[in-house]
Amino acid sequence: MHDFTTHGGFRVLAFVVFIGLSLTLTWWASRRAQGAAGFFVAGRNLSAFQNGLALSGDFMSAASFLGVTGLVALFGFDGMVYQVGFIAGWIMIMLVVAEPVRNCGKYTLSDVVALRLGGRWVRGATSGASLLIAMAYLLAQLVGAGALASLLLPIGANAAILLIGVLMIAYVLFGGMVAATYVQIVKAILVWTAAATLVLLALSYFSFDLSALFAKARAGSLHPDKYLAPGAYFTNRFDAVSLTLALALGTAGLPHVMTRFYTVPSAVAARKSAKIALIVMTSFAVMVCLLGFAAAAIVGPKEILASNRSGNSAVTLLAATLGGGAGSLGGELLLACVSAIAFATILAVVSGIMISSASAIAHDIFSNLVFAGRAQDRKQVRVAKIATVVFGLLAVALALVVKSFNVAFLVGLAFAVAASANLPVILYSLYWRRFNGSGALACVLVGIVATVGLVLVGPAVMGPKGLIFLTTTPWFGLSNPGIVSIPCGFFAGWIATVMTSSKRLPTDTRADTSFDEQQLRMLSGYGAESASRH
Amino acid sequence: MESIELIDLEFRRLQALKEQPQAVSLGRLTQQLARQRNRFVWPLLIGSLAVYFGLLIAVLSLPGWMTTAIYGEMNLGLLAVCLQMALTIGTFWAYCAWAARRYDSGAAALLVAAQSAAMETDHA
Repeated sequence: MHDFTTHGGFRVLAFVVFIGLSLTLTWWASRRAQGAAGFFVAGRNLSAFQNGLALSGDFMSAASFLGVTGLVALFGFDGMVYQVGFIAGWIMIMLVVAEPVRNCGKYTLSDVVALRLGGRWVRGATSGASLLIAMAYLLAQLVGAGALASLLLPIGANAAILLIGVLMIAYVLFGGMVAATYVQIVKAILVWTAAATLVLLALSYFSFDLSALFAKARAGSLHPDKYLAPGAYFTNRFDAVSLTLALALGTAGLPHVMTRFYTVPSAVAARKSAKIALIVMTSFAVMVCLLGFAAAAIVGPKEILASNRSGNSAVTLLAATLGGGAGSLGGELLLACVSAIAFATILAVVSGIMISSASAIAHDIFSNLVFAGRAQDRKQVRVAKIATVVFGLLAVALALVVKSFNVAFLVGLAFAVAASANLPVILYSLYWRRFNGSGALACVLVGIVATVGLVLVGPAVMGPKGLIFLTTTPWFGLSNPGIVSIPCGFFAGWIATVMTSSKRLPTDTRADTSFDEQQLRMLSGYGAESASRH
Repeated sequence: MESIELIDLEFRRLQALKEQPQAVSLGRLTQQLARQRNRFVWPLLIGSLAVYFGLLIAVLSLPGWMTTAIYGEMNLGLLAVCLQMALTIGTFWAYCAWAARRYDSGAAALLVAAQSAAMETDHA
């Protein structure tokens, strides 16, 4: 028994149990994911509650559960900026994006834009942006999974990346959106329950005196004077604002989040699912912040840093300590549960990204661009399955190549591209009558070029803290380009539209009609895709 | 032959007259609903984001003030974070309440109008 606990036996067992459960779900889901709608959007038959849990699961990623807890434990107040930024992103989603997207789209985010602006170039550009976001996000998650493996399980980084890659491909290949969603739901329940249990245990440690917890966390921290105030982590306040801008506006442009709104039968159900997601996410965000403070107070920053420089092990160390200490039965049991849940988190998030990428390749590129909308449903699903394997293997291969680099900036890049390229196109096409194809192309191209360009010459890639030219000063001072790239994307779309459209042109009557038709569909759901019958 | 063409022309003229007011009213209903939604949603969105970023900038610009204690270890900075989260929930609560009371019935009426217009066009 002693050998079993000290060699991570419980963790392996918990991990194997989760894999078994998720594969059973996939087998069950494979019988429900019939036809293109079944494969890409779960037949639009999910309830608001199910979709709400799945949406909150996308938010409750390893970055939140492990990364933010670590940041709060080490840097206190500044770590909370991430959580607040993610939550604020939902204001935009709930008010102006979720319901219109549900009514106007079919399988992908590009469908929303293509409803009015039918050009091949526009669809090509928007689906390209979606794939770029997906690949950046996927790479960051896979590399993160490799790094976490050494902390949580007795397997190496390469094995962890390969295992997660294979499972991600299997879920999507056999179960499509149904499997990806149910894995996400199970994970959301597990991770929320784990966080709540740990918070209760941590609070009971301080006899439910919150002030005592904060006081001990501050007293033992590396920066006691700045721990409960800003300034310990973000030394440049423009960088903090830039990051928050990308988080607050980028969430509404993330394809894997937006396509989840297609899985419910109506716009009202989309609104209800956003409501459920917000309740679950906000409570989780509060719990994660409390766990960070608890880890600082109970485990201590020095021990956290000794285990992992970025603080990712804070929550696992806290679990082990609350359970009775490392090596004890209770400690190992809690550690095993938290470790398995952390892995489940990564698996569920990458599966969601994978299905949205497969949809973009099969539906946007193959069906609409290559076959001009004439591809049959069965063919689309077949291509999506091939795309899942190819795109998944490409992501795994790239993750194995770049795993030794610090690629955390890729998550910021994904959010910044989503906010600078995808969001302007979505908002303009939904709400601006004059918006046209030239404007859409300008938004996407300028948004992508500005974001990627500024990241490449910024401190995340160039300079002493970057990947290349370590002796030079970065040309752009901010790690997060959102504060510049987001206005660039919006401005490019506006100026290109204004310069290329005129109310006197006869084509504008057609544009007017298509905008009116889109407004009717967006507001009433007339002509919107309906749920398929079982 | 001539009389048949005349009858056909008259029939088309009557049909056009019959369809025109319907199309106009559907378009007008759509525009009314869009205006109603935009009038509520955009100010709410801009206001919420302005308060959110205002709080963020205040927190980052005035780190000294943020350490001002309110109750125990609770200080102004932590209160600002709590306010930001509450703001998101409050904004969505306000939107849901407004949508249930003012918007959903309008959207349902527009859907019915669009469906009946389509049915009449098919019928004709």
